[in-house]
Amino acid sequence: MNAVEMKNVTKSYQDFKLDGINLTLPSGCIMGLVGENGAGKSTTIKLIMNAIESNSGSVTVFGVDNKDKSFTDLKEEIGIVLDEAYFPEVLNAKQVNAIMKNTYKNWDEECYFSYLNRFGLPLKKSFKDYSRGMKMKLAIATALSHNPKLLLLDEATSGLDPMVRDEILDIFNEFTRDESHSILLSSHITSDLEKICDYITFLHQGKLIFSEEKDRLLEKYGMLHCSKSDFDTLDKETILGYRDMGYSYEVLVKREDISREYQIEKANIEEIVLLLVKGEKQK
Amino acid sequence: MKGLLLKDIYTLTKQVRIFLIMIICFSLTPNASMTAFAICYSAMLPITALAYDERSKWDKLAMMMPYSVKELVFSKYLLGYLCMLVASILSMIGKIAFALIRHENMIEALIPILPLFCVGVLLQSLNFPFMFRLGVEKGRILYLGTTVIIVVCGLFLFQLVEDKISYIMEHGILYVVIFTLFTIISAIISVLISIKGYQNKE
Repeated sequence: MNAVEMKNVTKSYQDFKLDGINLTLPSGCIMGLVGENGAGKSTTIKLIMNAIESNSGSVTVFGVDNKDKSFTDLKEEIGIVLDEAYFPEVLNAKQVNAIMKNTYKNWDEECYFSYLNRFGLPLKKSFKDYSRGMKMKLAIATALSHNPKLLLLDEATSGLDPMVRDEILDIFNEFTRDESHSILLSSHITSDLEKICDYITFLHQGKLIFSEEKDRLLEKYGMLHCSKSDFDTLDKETILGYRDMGYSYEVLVKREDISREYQIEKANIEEIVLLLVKGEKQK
Repeated sequence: MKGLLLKDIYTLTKQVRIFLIMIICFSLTPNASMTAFAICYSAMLPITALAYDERSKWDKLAMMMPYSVKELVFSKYLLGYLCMLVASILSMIGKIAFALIRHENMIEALIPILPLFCVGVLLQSLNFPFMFRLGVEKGRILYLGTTVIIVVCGLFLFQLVEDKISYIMEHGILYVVIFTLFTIISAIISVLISIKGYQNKE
Protein backbone atom coordinates (compact mmCIF):
# COMPACT_ATOMS: atom_id res chain seq x y z
CA MET A 1 0.00 0.00 0.00
CA ASN A 2 1.14 3.53 -0.70
CA ALA A 3 1.73 5.77 2.27
CA VAL A 4 0.71 8.91 0.36
CA GLU A 5 -0.95 9.39 -3.01
CA MET A 6 -1.76 12.77 -4.49
CA LYS A 7 -3.71 12.88 -7.73
CA ASN A 8 -4.04 16.09 -9.74
CA VAL A 9 -4.12 18.20 -6.60
CA THR A 10 -4.51 21.91 -7.24
CA LYS A 11 -4.60 24.71 -4.72
CA SER A 12 -4.94 28.34 -5.76
CA TYR A 13 -4.18 31.44 -3.78
CA GLN A 14 -4.32 35.00 -5.02
CA ASP A 15 -0.64 35.08 -5.93
CA PHE A 16 0.28 31.40 -6.05
CA LYS A 17 -1.00 28.19 -7.54
CA LEU A 18 0.05 24.65 -6.76
CA ASP A 19 -0.85 23.07 -10.03
CA GLY A 20 -1.97 19.49 -10.66
CA ILE A 21 0.36 17.70 -8.27
CA ASN A 22 0.72 13.94 -8.70
CA LEU A 23 2.98 12.05 -6.36
CA THR A 24 3.15 8.62 -4.80
CA LEU A 25 5.13 7.69 -1.73
CA PRO A 26 5.24 3.90 -1.35
CA SER A 27 5.24 2.48 2.18
CA GLY A 28 8.68 1.89 3.61
CA CYS A 29 10.31 4.65 1.54
CA ILE A 30 11.72 8.12 2.14
CA MET A 31 10.74 10.85 -0.28
CA GLY A 32 12.52 14.18 -0.44
CA LEU A 33 10.55 17.22 -1.47
CA VAL A 34 12.82 19.84 -2.95
CA GLY A 35 12.20 23.28 -4.38
CA GLU A 36 12.95 26.97 -3.88
CA ASN A 37 11.23 29.09 -1.21
CA GLY A 38 7.59 29.45 -2.19
CA ALA A 39 7.69 26.46 -4.55
CA GLY A 40 4.78 24.86 -2.73
CA LYS A 41 6.47 22.35 -0.40
CA SER A 42 4.71 23.46 2.78
CA THR A 43 1.42 23.80 0.90
CA THR A 44 1.84 20.20 -0.29
CA ILE A 45 2.33 18.99 3.29
CA LYS A 46 -0.67 21.02 4.51
CA LEU A 47 -2.77 19.54 1.70
CA ILE A 48 -1.74 16.01 2.65
CA MET A 49 -2.81 16.68 6.24
CA ASN A 50 -6.03 18.35 5.06
CA ALA A 51 -5.04 21.44 7.04
CA ILE A 52 -6.04 23.44 3.96
CA GLU A 53 -8.65 22.55 1.38
CA SER A 54 -7.62 21.74 -2.18
CA ASN A 55 -9.48 23.19 -5.15
CA SER A 56 -9.38 19.90 -7.00
CA GLY A 57 -7.80 16.46 -6.95
CA SER A 58 -7.56 13.84 -4.23
CA VAL A 59 -5.15 12.86 -1.48
CA THR A 60 -5.07 9.47 0.20
CA VAL A 61 -2.91 8.45 3.14
CA PHE A 62 -2.59 4.69 3.69
CA GLY A 63 -5.56 4.35 1.34
CA VAL A 64 -7.82 6.69 3.32
CA ASP A 65 -9.13 9.81 1.59
CA ASN A 66 -7.95 12.74 3.69
CA LYS A 67 -11.38 14.39 3.39
CA ASP A 68 -12.98 11.34 5.01
CA LYS A 69 -14.02 11.67 8.66
CA SER A 70 -11.85 8.70 9.60
CA PHE A 71 -8.77 10.69 8.55
CA THR A 72 -8.82 12.51 11.91
CA ASP A 73 -8.18 9.15 13.60
CA LEU A 74 -5.55 8.25 11.00
CA LYS A 75 -3.56 11.30 12.08
CA GLU A 76 -2.55 9.15 15.06
CA GLU A 77 -0.31 7.32 12.58
CA ILE A 78 1.29 10.49 11.24
CA GLY A 79 4.14 12.26 12.97
CA ILE A 80 4.55 15.86 11.93
CA VAL A 81 7.48 18.25 12.26
CA LEU A 82 7.07 21.71 10.79
CA ASP A 83 9.79 24.26 10.06
CA GLU A 84 9.58 25.43 13.68
CA ALA A 85 8.39 23.56 16.74
CA TYR A 86 5.18 25.60 17.18
CA PHE A 87 4.73 24.83 20.89
CA PRO A 88 3.73 27.74 23.15
CA GLU A 89 7.00 29.12 24.43
CA VAL A 90 6.13 28.90 28.12
CA LEU A 91 5.76 25.12 28.02
CA ASN A 92 8.52 22.75 29.05
CA ALA A 93 9.24 19.22 27.82
CA LYS A 94 7.44 17.64 30.76
CA GLN A 95 4.27 19.62 30.04
CA VAL A 96 4.51 18.72 26.35
CA ASN A 97 4.44 15.07 27.47
CA ALA A 98 1.26 15.67 29.52
CA ILE A 99 -0.43 17.42 26.58
CA MET A 100 0.55 14.78 24.03
CA LYS A 101 -0.46 11.98 26.38
CA ASN A 102 -3.96 13.44 26.21
CA THR A 103 -3.77 14.03 22.46
CA TYR A 104 -2.44 10.79 20.97
CA LYS A 105 -3.97 7.46 21.99
CA ASN A 106 -0.69 5.73 21.08
CA TRP A 107 1.50 8.13 23.04
CA ASP A 108 4.54 6.28 24.36
CA GLU A 109 5.82 8.18 27.37
CA GLU A 110 8.83 5.92 27.80
CA CYS A 111 9.87 6.42 24.19
CA TYR A 112 9.46 10.22 24.55
CA PHE A 113 11.61 10.45 27.65
CA SER A 114 14.24 8.19 26.11
CA TYR A 115 14.45 10.57 23.12
CA LEU A 116 14.72 13.55 25.48
CA ASN A 117 17.52 11.77 27.27
CA ARG A 118 19.24 10.86 24.01
CA PHE A 119 18.99 14.46 22.77
CA GLY A 120 20.06 15.87 26.13
CA LEU A 121 16.92 18.00 26.44
CA PRO A 122 16.11 19.41 29.89
CA LEU A 123 12.71 18.48 31.31
CA LYS A 124 11.80 21.67 33.10
CA LYS A 125 13.43 24.36 31.00
CA SER A 126 10.94 26.61 29.22
CA PHE A 127 10.72 26.11 25.52
CA LYS A 128 11.57 29.78 24.91
CA ASP A 129 15.03 29.20 26.37
CA TYR A 130 15.79 26.37 23.95
CA SER A 131 18.17 26.84 21.01
CA ARG A 132 16.75 26.21 17.54
CA GLY A 133 18.44 22.80 17.47
CA MET A 134 16.87 21.88 20.82
CA LYS A 135 13.44 23.05 19.66
CA MET A 136 13.63 20.93 16.53
CA LYS A 137 14.83 17.93 18.56
CA LEU A 138 11.85 18.31 20.88
CA ALA A 139 9.52 18.49 17.88
CA ILE A 140 11.13 15.36 16.41
CA ALA A 141 10.96 13.51 19.75
CA THR A 142 7.26 14.40 19.93
CA ALA A 143 6.60 13.28 16.36
CA LEU A 144 8.33 9.94 16.94
CA SER A 145 6.74 9.13 20.30
CA HIS A 146 3.26 8.13 19.23
CA ASN A 147 4.35 5.21 17.07
CA PRO A 148 3.71 6.88 13.71
CA LYS A 149 3.93 4.99 10.45
CA LEU A 150 4.44 8.13 8.40
CA LEU A 151 6.60 11.12 9.19
CA LEU A 152 5.94 14.42 7.45
CA LEU A 153 8.85 16.80 7.91
CA ASP A 154 8.70 20.33 6.62
CA GLU A 155 12.17 21.88 6.60
CA ALA A 156 12.85 20.05 9.84
CA THR A 157 16.62 20.18 9.39
CA SER A 158 17.02 23.71 8.02
CA GLY A 159 18.95 26.13 10.19
CA LEU A 160 20.60 23.31 12.12
CA ASP A 161 24.33 22.77 12.30
CA PRO A 162 25.77 19.78 10.38
CA MET A 163 26.34 17.74 13.57
CA VAL A 164 22.71 18.00 14.68
CA ARG A 165 21.50 17.44 11.12
CA ASP A 166 23.53 14.29 10.83
CA GLU A 167 22.22 13.04 14.17
CA ILE A 168 18.65 13.70 13.05
CA LEU A 169 19.18 12.02 9.68
CA ASP A 170 20.44 8.94 11.54
CA ILE A 171 17.20 8.88 13.50
CA PHE A 172 15.18 9.07 10.29
CA ASN A 173 17.21 6.19 8.88
CA GLU A 174 16.54 4.20 12.04
CA PHE A 175 12.84 4.97 11.71
CA THR A 176 12.62 3.53 8.19
CA ARG A 177 14.31 0.27 9.19
CA ASP A 178 10.77 -0.86 9.87
CA GLU A 179 9.38 -1.54 6.40
CA SER A 180 5.96 -0.15 7.21
CA HIS A 181 7.44 3.26 8.06
CA SER A 182 7.67 6.07 5.51
CA ILE A 183 8.94 9.64 5.48
CA LEU A 184 8.12 12.66 3.37
CA LEU A 185 10.81 15.23 4.00
CA SER A 186 10.95 18.71 2.50
CA SER A 187 14.28 20.47 2.55
CA HIS A 188 16.49 22.98 0.78
CA ILE A 189 19.50 20.94 1.74
CA THR A 190 19.74 18.59 -1.22
CA SER A 191 22.81 16.82 0.20
CA ASP A 192 20.64 15.65 3.12
CA LEU A 193 18.00 14.40 0.75
CA GLU A 194 20.58 12.64 -1.39
CA LYS A 195 21.91 10.91 1.70
CA ILE A 196 18.67 9.34 2.88
CA CYS A 197 15.94 9.51 0.24
CA ASP A 198 14.65 6.77 -2.03
CA TYR A 199 12.50 9.19 -4.04
CA ILE A 200 12.97 12.82 -4.98
CA THR A 201 10.12 15.14 -5.86
CA PHE A 202 10.98 18.51 -7.31
CA LEU A 203 8.56 21.41 -7.19
CA HIS A 204 9.21 24.66 -8.99
CA GLN A 205 6.87 27.66 -8.86
CA GLY A 206 3.96 25.44 -7.85
CA LYS A 207 4.52 22.89 -10.59
CA LEU A 208 5.81 19.36 -10.27
CA ILE A 209 8.95 19.04 -12.36
CA PHE A 210 9.60 15.41 -11.47
CA SER A 211 8.85 12.79 -8.83
CA GLU A 212 11.15 9.83 -9.33
CA GLU A 213 13.27 7.22 -7.64
CA LYS A 214 16.56 8.80 -6.68
CA ASP A 215 18.70 6.05 -8.24
CA ARG A 216 16.79 6.24 -11.51
CA LEU A 217 17.17 10.02 -11.47
CA LEU A 218 20.92 9.76 -10.99
CA GLU A 219 21.10 7.19 -13.80
CA LYS A 220 18.95 9.30 -16.08
CA TYR A 221 20.79 12.61 -15.78
CA GLY A 222 24.47 13.30 -16.16
CA MET A 223 26.91 16.18 -16.34
CA LEU A 224 28.85 16.78 -19.50
CA HIS A 225 32.00 18.85 -19.12
CA CYS A 226 32.98 20.20 -22.51
CA SER A 227 34.76 22.97 -24.35
CA LYS A 228 32.91 25.85 -25.99
CA SER A 229 33.40 24.29 -29.45
CA ASP A 230 31.91 20.98 -28.27
CA PHE A 231 29.09 22.87 -26.58
CA ASP A 232 28.29 24.66 -29.86
CA THR A 233 28.03 21.36 -31.72
CA LEU A 234 25.58 19.87 -29.19
CA ASP A 235 21.97 19.51 -30.26
CA LYS A 236 20.28 22.28 -28.26
CA GLU A 237 17.33 20.01 -27.55
CA THR A 238 19.58 17.75 -25.47
CA ILE A 239 20.81 20.60 -23.25
CA LEU A 240 18.64 20.69 -20.14
CA GLY A 241 20.68 23.42 -18.50
CA TYR A 242 24.28 24.61 -18.43
CA ARG A 243 26.86 26.61 -16.57
CA ASP A 244 29.31 28.75 -18.50
CA MET A 245 32.62 28.32 -16.66
CA GLY A 246 34.57 30.67 -18.93
CA TYR A 247 36.83 28.20 -20.77
CA SER A 248 34.47 25.26 -20.46
CA TYR A 249 30.84 24.35 -20.00
CA GLU A 250 29.02 22.14 -17.51
CA VAL A 251 25.94 20.79 -19.20
CA LEU A 252 23.09 18.82 -17.67
CA VAL A 253 21.90 16.17 -20.12
CA LYS A 254 19.89 13.00 -20.22
CA ARG A 255 22.41 10.20 -20.70
CA GLU A 256 20.24 8.53 -23.34
CA ASP A 257 20.25 11.67 -25.49
CA ILE A 258 24.03 11.95 -25.75
CA SER A 259 26.40 9.99 -27.91
CA ARG A 260 28.71 7.56 -26.10
CA GLU A 261 31.77 9.38 -27.39
CA TYR A 262 31.20 12.03 -24.72
CA GLN A 263 32.27 11.27 -21.20
CA ILE A 264 29.33 11.94 -18.93
CA GLU A 265 29.85 12.26 -15.22
CA LYS A 266 27.45 11.66 -12.40
CA ALA A 267 25.20 14.61 -11.56
CA ASN A 268 24.12 15.14 -8.00
CA ILE A 269 20.58 16.14 -6.99
CA GLU A 270 21.58 19.77 -6.44
CA GLU A 271 23.04 20.02 -9.96
CA ILE A 272 19.98 18.36 -11.49
CA VAL A 273 17.56 20.64 -9.68
CA LEU A 274 19.52 23.85 -10.21
CA LEU A 275 20.31 23.27 -13.86
CA LEU A 276 16.79 22.17 -14.72
CA VAL A 277 15.49 25.49 -13.36
CA LYS A 278 18.35 27.42 -14.97
CA GLY A 279 17.70 25.59 -18.24
CA GLU A 280 14.10 26.78 -18.24
CA LYS A 281 15.38 30.36 -18.13
CA GLN A 282 18.17 29.72 -20.66
CA LYS A 283 15.59 28.52 -23.18
CA MET B 1 -9.76 17.64 23.85
CA LYS B 2 -8.25 17.20 27.30
CA GLY B 3 -4.82 17.80 25.77
CA LEU B 4 -5.96 21.13 24.28
CA LEU B 5 -7.44 22.28 27.59
CA LEU B 6 -4.32 21.24 29.44
CA LYS B 7 -2.15 23.20 27.01
CA ASP B 8 -4.28 26.33 27.52
CA ILE B 9 -4.24 25.95 31.30
CA TYR B 10 -0.42 25.59 31.32
CA THR B 11 -0.09 28.63 29.06
CA LEU B 12 -2.51 30.82 30.98
CA THR B 13 -1.16 29.96 34.43
CA LYS B 14 2.32 30.97 33.27
CA GLN B 15 1.47 34.00 31.12
CA VAL B 16 -1.39 35.71 32.94
CA ARG B 17 -0.82 34.69 36.54
CA ILE B 18 -1.55 38.20 37.90
CA PHE B 19 -4.72 38.36 35.85
CA LEU B 20 -5.85 35.03 37.32
CA ILE B 21 -5.14 36.23 40.86
CA MET B 22 -7.22 39.35 40.11
CA ILE B 23 -10.11 37.18 38.93
CA ILE B 24 -9.93 35.11 42.14
CA CYS B 25 -9.89 38.27 44.28
CA PHE B 26 -12.81 39.83 42.38
CA SER B 27 -14.76 36.58 42.64
CA LEU B 28 -14.33 36.36 46.39
CA THR B 29 -15.39 39.99 46.90
CA PRO B 30 -19.10 39.93 47.89
CA ASN B 31 -20.20 42.61 45.48
CA ALA B 32 -22.25 42.06 42.32
CA SER B 33 -20.14 44.38 40.15
CA MET B 34 -16.96 42.58 41.27
CA THR B 35 -18.60 39.27 40.36
CA ALA B 36 -19.47 40.78 36.97
CA PHE B 37 -15.82 41.80 36.48
CA ALA B 38 -14.59 38.35 37.49
CA ILE B 39 -16.97 36.49 35.15
CA CYS B 40 -16.42 38.85 32.19
CA TYR B 41 -12.63 38.67 32.62
CA SER B 42 -12.93 34.87 32.75
CA ALA B 43 -14.88 34.95 29.48
CA MET B 44 -11.90 36.79 27.92
CA LEU B 45 -9.29 34.22 29.00
CA PRO B 46 -9.82 31.89 26.00
CA ILE B 47 -9.11 34.87 23.70
CA THR B 48 -5.80 35.34 25.45
CA ALA B 49 -5.13 31.61 24.96
CA LEU B 50 -6.08 31.94 21.29
CA ALA B 51 -3.67 34.89 20.91
CA TYR B 52 -0.82 32.79 22.37
CA ASP B 53 -1.73 29.95 20.00
CA GLU B 54 -1.47 32.30 17.05
CA ARG B 55 1.80 33.75 18.30
CA SER B 56 3.46 30.37 18.69
CA LYS B 57 1.66 29.03 15.57
CA TRP B 58 0.28 26.20 17.70
CA ASP B 59 -3.00 26.52 15.75
CA LYS B 60 -1.19 25.38 12.59
CA LEU B 61 0.34 22.39 14.38
CA ALA B 62 -2.95 21.46 16.06
CA MET B 63 -4.65 21.28 12.66
CA MET B 64 -2.28 18.41 11.85
CA MET B 65 -2.93 16.54 15.09
CA PRO B 66 -5.76 14.07 15.58
CA TYR B 67 -8.22 16.83 16.44
CA SER B 68 -11.25 17.77 14.39
CA VAL B 69 -12.02 21.44 13.73
CA LYS B 70 -15.03 21.02 16.02
CA GLU B 71 -12.79 19.94 18.90
CA LEU B 72 -10.29 22.74 18.27
CA VAL B 73 -13.06 25.35 18.33
CA PHE B 74 -15.15 23.87 21.13
CA SER B 75 -12.15 23.45 23.43
CA LYS B 76 -11.85 27.25 23.59
CA TYR B 77 -15.55 27.65 24.40
CA LEU B 78 -15.21 24.96 27.04
CA LEU B 79 -12.19 26.71 28.51
CA GLY B 80 -14.26 29.88 28.81
CA TYR B 81 -17.16 28.06 30.44
CA LEU B 82 -14.80 26.36 32.91
CA CYS B 83 -13.12 29.66 33.82
CA MET B 84 -16.50 31.33 34.29
CA LEU B 85 -17.73 28.38 36.32
CA VAL B 86 -14.71 28.60 38.64
CA ALA B 87 -15.25 32.38 39.00
CA SER B 88 -18.97 31.77 39.73
CA ILE B 89 -18.23 29.08 42.33
CA LEU B 90 -15.68 31.34 44.03
CA SER B 91 -18.26 34.15 43.99
CA MET B 92 -20.81 31.84 45.59
CA ILE B 93 -18.32 30.89 48.29
CA GLY B 94 -17.52 34.56 48.89
CA LYS B 95 -21.16 35.56 49.05
CA ILE B 96 -22.19 32.65 51.30
CA ALA B 97 -19.35 33.39 53.70
CA PHE B 98 -20.20 37.08 53.78
CA ALA B 99 -23.94 36.39 54.26
CA LEU B 100 -23.16 34.00 57.12
CA ILE B 101 -20.93 36.54 58.86
CA ARG B 102 -23.41 39.40 58.45
CA HIS B 103 -26.53 37.20 58.96
CA GLU B 104 -27.93 38.32 55.60
CA ASN B 105 -30.24 36.52 53.17
CA MET B 106 -28.04 34.07 51.31
CA ILE B 107 -30.43 33.47 48.40
CA GLU B 108 -30.64 37.18 47.55
CA ALA B 109 -26.88 37.39 47.45
CA LEU B 110 -26.64 34.38 45.12
CA ILE B 111 -29.36 35.42 42.65
CA PRO B 112 -27.21 37.71 40.43
CA ILE B 113 -24.65 34.97 39.72
CA LEU B 114 -26.71 33.09 37.09
CA PRO B 115 -27.60 36.18 35.00
CA LEU B 116 -23.98 37.32 35.24
CA PHE B 117 -22.79 33.90 34.12
CA CYS B 118 -25.21 34.22 31.17
CA VAL B 119 -23.77 37.66 30.33
CA GLY B 120 -20.29 36.10 30.30
CA VAL B 121 -21.48 33.31 28.00
CA LEU B 122 -23.17 35.86 25.71
CA LEU B 123 -20.02 37.94 25.62
CA GLN B 124 -18.06 34.88 24.60
CA SER B 125 -20.71 33.86 22.04
CA LEU B 126 -20.50 37.27 20.42
CA ASN B 127 -16.75 37.46 20.54
CA PHE B 128 -15.57 34.07 19.35
CA PRO B 129 -16.90 33.88 15.79
CA PHE B 130 -14.85 37.01 14.96
CA MET B 131 -11.75 35.62 16.63
CA PHE B 132 -11.94 32.26 14.89
CA ARG B 133 -12.66 33.71 11.46
CA LEU B 134 -10.33 36.72 11.45
CA GLY B 135 -7.72 35.92 14.09
CA VAL B 136 -7.40 37.65 17.44
CA GLU B 137 -5.95 40.97 16.23
CA LYS B 138 -8.55 41.76 13.58
CA GLY B 139 -11.27 39.95 15.54
CA ARG B 140 -10.81 42.22 18.56
CA ILE B 141 -11.34 45.38 16.51
CA LEU B 142 -14.49 44.04 14.90
CA TYR B 143 -15.73 42.78 18.26
CA LEU B 144 -15.30 46.22 19.85
CA GLY B 145 -17.23 47.80 16.99
CA THR B 146 -20.05 45.27 17.33
CA THR B 147 -20.15 45.73 21.12
CA VAL B 148 -20.58 49.52 20.75
CA ILE B 149 -23.48 48.96 18.32
CA ILE B 150 -25.13 46.44 20.67
CA VAL B 151 -24.73 48.70 23.74
CA VAL B 152 -26.25 51.68 21.87
CA CYS B 153 -29.15 49.50 20.66
CA GLY B 154 -29.55 48.07 24.19
CA LEU B 155 -29.78 51.55 25.74
CA PHE B 156 -32.33 52.56 23.11
CA LEU B 157 -34.35 49.40 23.87
CA PHE B 158 -34.07 50.08 27.61
CA GLN B 159 -35.55 53.55 27.14
CA LEU B 160 -38.47 51.99 25.28
CA VAL B 161 -39.29 49.53 28.09
CA GLU B 162 -38.27 51.76 31.02
CA ASP B 163 -41.84 52.17 32.28
CA LYS B 164 -42.32 48.39 32.29
CA ILE B 165 -39.31 47.70 34.54
CA SER B 166 -41.41 47.14 37.66
CA TYR B 167 -43.46 44.51 35.77
CA ILE B 168 -40.24 42.80 34.64
CA MET B 169 -38.90 42.81 38.21
CA GLU B 170 -42.09 41.19 39.50
CA HIS B 171 -41.72 38.32 37.04
CA GLY B 172 -37.98 38.01 37.71
CA ILE B 173 -37.76 34.20 37.60
CA LEU B 174 -39.56 34.00 34.25
CA TYR B 175 -37.14 36.52 32.75
CA VAL B 176 -34.13 34.70 34.17
CA VAL B 177 -35.39 31.48 32.51
CA ILE B 178 -35.96 33.28 29.18
CA PHE B 179 -32.55 34.94 29.41
CA THR B 180 -30.88 31.61 30.22
CA LEU B 181 -32.58 29.90 27.24
CA PHE B 182 -31.59 32.79 24.99
CA THR B 183 -28.00 32.44 26.23
CA ILE B 184 -27.92 28.69 25.51
CA ILE B 185 -29.35 29.14 21.99
CA SER B 186 -26.88 31.99 21.29
CA ALA B 187 -24.00 29.80 22.49
CA ILE B 188 -25.02 26.94 20.17
CA ILE B 189 -25.34 29.30 17.18
CA SER B 190 -22.01 30.92 18.05
CA VAL B 191 -20.21 27.54 18.21
CA LEU B 192 -21.63 26.57 14.81
CA ILE B 193 -20.59 29.90 13.23
CA SER B 194 -17.11 29.63 14.77
CA ILE B 195 -16.63 26.10 13.42
CA LYS B 196 -17.66 27.24 9.94
CA GLY B 197 -15.40 30.30 10.20
CA TYR B 198 -12.40 28.29 11.36
CA GLN B 199 -12.90 25.75 8.57
CA ASN B 200 -12.78 28.54 6.01
CA LYS B 201 -9.80 30.28 7.57
CA GLU B 202 -6.45 29.68 5.87
